[in-house]
Amino acid sequence: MVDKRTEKDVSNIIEGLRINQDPRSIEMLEDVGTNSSVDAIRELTSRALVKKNQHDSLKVVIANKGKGINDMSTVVAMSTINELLSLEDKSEAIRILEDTVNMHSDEEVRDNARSVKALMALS
Amino acid sequence: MANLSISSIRERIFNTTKHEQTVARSSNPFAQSSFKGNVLTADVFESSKSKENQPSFAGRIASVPAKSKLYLSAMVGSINNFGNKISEKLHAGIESVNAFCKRMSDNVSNFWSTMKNTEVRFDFMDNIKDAMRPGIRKNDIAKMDLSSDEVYNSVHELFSSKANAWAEAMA
Repeated sequence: MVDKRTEKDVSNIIEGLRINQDPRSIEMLEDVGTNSSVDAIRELTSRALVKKNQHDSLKVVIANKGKGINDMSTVVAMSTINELLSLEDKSEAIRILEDTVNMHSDEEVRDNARSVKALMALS
Repeated sequence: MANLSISSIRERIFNTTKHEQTVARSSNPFAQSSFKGNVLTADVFESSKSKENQPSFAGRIASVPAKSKLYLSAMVGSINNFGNKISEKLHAGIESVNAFCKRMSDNVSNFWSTMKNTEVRFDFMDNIKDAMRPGIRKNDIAKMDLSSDEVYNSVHELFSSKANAWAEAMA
């Protein structure tokens, strides 16, 4: 069982990187957060990347196999989709979803992107 | 009309013993009174004390026919059995009360022994201690210049170490 101090530290680092406007914050979140073996860290990271609502950050959670909406963990995938649906400005996310549906090489990633795009159109 | 001659009045006043003896012989309060010259000599009043003081149950039993006496004896027997049952139930009740008290005593002693071996912790105290302890603040991370390799690497290392510590704790 993880202690609360570690949990809080990781949460603060991810939240700090979300607020940080430097493009390299996305790189760090992808490198450390989305590749973590801990579901909770991947979930926090995916949500932070969606909240950034930038092209590069959204691309990480939409068009990458095994990350964000394509994560193996249902909790992580659903949490990311829920965060996408909560965006006030969904234009960039829909644009990336369309590109993924039309151009991604992996069929599963395309199907997921199609489903999320349909959900976002309804919301 | 009452006899109010001087001699009779004197006899009543100065010779009370005689008067009381007369009253004691008869329960008739009008024994010494005459009604238009006729004195009530017969004791026509039935004493109420005699009925109250004498137990009538024995007399009533004596007057009961033999067949009915069998029923009554059976009834008395059943009353005795009933008494025995009450006694048994009372005894069982006392036993159950004893068992209950013993159980409660055991529970109380178990409670105290459990409390002795139980560590009482308050989560909110941990949260307060965590809040008081210096840690990584998100605003510090948000203000860092990640374009600098030195800063980027230090934050990357910190993030990795914390994520690995979490993963090890979960393993």
